[in-house]
Amino acid sequence: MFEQISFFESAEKLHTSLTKGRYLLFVADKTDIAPLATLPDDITFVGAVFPRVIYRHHTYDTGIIVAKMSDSTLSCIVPMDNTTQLKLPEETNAVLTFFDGYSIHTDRFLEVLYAQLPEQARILGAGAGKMTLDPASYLLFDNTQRYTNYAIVVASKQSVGLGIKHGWTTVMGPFIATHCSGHTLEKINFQDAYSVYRSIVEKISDIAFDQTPFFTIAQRFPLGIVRYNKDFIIREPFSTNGQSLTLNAQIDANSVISILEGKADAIIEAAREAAVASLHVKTQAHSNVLLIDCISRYLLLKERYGEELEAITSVYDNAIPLWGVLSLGEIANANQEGIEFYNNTCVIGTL
Amino acid sequence: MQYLNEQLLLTFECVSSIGTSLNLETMVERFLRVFTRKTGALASLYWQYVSEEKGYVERCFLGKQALKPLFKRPDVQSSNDQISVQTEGKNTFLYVTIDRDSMVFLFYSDKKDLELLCSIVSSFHSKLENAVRACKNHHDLLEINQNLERRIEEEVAKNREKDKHILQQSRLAQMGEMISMIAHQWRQPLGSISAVAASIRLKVSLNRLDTSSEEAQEQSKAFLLDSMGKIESYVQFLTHTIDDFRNFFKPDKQKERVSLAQLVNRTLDIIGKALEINTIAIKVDVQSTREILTYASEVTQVILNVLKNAEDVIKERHIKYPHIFIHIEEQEEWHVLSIEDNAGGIPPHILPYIFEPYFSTKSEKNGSGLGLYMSKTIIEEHCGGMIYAENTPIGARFIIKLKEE
Ligand SMILES: Nc1ncnc2c1ncn2[C@@H]1O[C@H](COP(=O)(O)OP(=O)(O)OP(=O)(O)O)[C@@H](O)[C@H]1O
Ligand SMILES: [Mg+2]
Repeated sequence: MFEQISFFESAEKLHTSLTKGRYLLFVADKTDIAPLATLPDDITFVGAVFPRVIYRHHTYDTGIIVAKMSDSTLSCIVPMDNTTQLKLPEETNAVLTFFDGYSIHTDRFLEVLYAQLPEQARILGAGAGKMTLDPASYLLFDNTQRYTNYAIVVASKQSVGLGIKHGWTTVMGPFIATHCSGHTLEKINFQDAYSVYRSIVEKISDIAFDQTPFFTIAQRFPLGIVRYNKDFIIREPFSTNGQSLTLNAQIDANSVISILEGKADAIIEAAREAAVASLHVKTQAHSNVLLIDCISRYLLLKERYGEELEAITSVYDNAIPLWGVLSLGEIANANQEGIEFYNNTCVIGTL
Repeated sequence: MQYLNEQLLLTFECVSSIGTSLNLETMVERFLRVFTRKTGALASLYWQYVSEEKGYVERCFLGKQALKPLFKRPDVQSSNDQISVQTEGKNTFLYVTIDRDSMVFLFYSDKKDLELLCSIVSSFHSKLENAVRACKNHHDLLEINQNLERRIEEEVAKNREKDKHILQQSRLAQMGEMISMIAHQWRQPLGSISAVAASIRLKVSLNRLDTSSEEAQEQSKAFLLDSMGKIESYVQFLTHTIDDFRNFFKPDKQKERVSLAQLVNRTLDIIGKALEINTIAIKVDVQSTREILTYASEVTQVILNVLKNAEDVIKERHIKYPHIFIHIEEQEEWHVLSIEDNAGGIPPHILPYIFEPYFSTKSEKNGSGLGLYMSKTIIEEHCGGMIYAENTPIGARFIIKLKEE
């Protein structure tokens, strides 16, 4: 899928290092990408901005990961509310997608994209985004322009291995999301979602809600949507108005939810398990490992995040490069079910 | 334990997603989405049995389009089981029959895993079936309503047809009016023609058409030529009237540049002789010969109507030394034509009504009562002028006012 993956501390460095070809760029939040505009015409690229990028044993808030696409790899950038122009060849085995993490079209986009996938294709991807919500910011770009509400889609015949794990565990539940609209969870068990959430978290922890920023509480105690016979899906309430909770993705009314707790050891162990799983389903030799890891995990683990990276790299041959992003939402589908939009999850693809 | 718990929860979620809409497709799509998401089905399809087509119609598909060919259209006489599972290679299908419709889910798991799912589905099967029926009933109701609406529309259309009919009737009435006006306009010239013819006949029967001498011959010839000329001019007038009436309802009719005096002369050409016969003295006083732009023959009809009415009333009241006085002048922006007679005037109690349609006091003479009504229509609506009547010490005065353009 990719011939070569490298990391550059700044956009200027690309001028002296890149040769003719097509590239996928992951740009860390604080990088100045203006110099990309003066790259020669025979270097074409699609790129997305993420809070941090991951290269080998480190994460960076400045810098660019550059992945050179092989000739047979397809790439395009499509509007998330209209993917009709997207034509995936039938022999496609892997699809990567990097989409606008702030878009309201995410759920629909993923459903339609999934419907368009060839039968055997696996998919993984990430929501692009920044640490601070700057309304003037853009998350996706190519040689010609910048995009909002668009998604990069990369497709290849090469098959990929996939591992998906999060490590969060249920501390309380089940509850029923009795009133929901879009990204807003209004009622849990017919009561204001926030007061239910607060009373439970206060019961199971010593957190003082009045003295702690809400998002740091939510990072530790996200919600899990329960599924039959399958791992639950994590949803993080990132803000509240004192009554309802605003989640980072859609939730269906009457979903069964639990309150989860993230413990560093379990989360790190889950990352290792995801890495192991990615090798299990892999059918052919891989040349690199793509890690899509939720920014929430990084924020929760703080200085221990390095342990998560070590846990992952320890599974693979040391010569194989690890690259990736800290994302706003992860998606993965090993063709065992429909696409799900995850949060707080570690998705690993062996390419 | 956890397993059982999950089963209950899934049941709850699916049950909650049932019947959230009365639109079959929306309702089914919601249910399929929840069920597919929560159970990890790869794709799902809803077939509706349509009795008119004696077969199944696809209503809703969720999941990878690439998997769609794996779904076979159900046979009408397929298994009687409400819920069944079939495995084909790695694909396992879960079939659920609902009110003759068929719902199919595709899984990549084995039959055993789906046993629990089957029991879950059977627990809410009847609720789902009821919801589907509710949607269909609602749909039928909507259709009935639509039929009703269509019927109402048809009735409305019929009414419109009726309106048209009424319009047509009023047109017919107008035509009747027109014909009676033509009759009215023709009575005079026809009478004149027959009078001329009668005078010729009289001469012939009295042997007064002398051809014995050359002089007598000349005289007879002159009389005949004169009579022929009169007849011809009456006939021409008749033709004119027809044309004028025919053109009357045409809005594109051209205006003509003409003076009121000319119009009076034209009218007198037609009716003057008849008035003369009845020894009615006509005096025309022309103070202005300025031309105006107007519908000339229509105004002629009006003058004719007024003169005719004067003649009628003069004859009716046996006025001695009858006369009609026609006066043309300019008053500011108006060109004014007044026609007065010495027949005693209009009884004050009928004065307000004489311009109304079908108002006539001439029962014996069988007046239509349309003469003045048409005159008012012509002058005020078509020519943008005014017409009104007043009494003078000795008779009636009709005043017609027209603008230059
Ligand atoms: N010069 C007049 N003097 C007195 N009465 C008049 C005079 N002109 C009209 N009228 C009255 O006005 C009525 C309406 O006149 P109009 O011309 O509309 O109808 P009409 O003369 O009765 O019928 P038609 O014109 O069809 O023969 C007449 O019946 C008559 O009573
Ligand atoms: Mg009359």
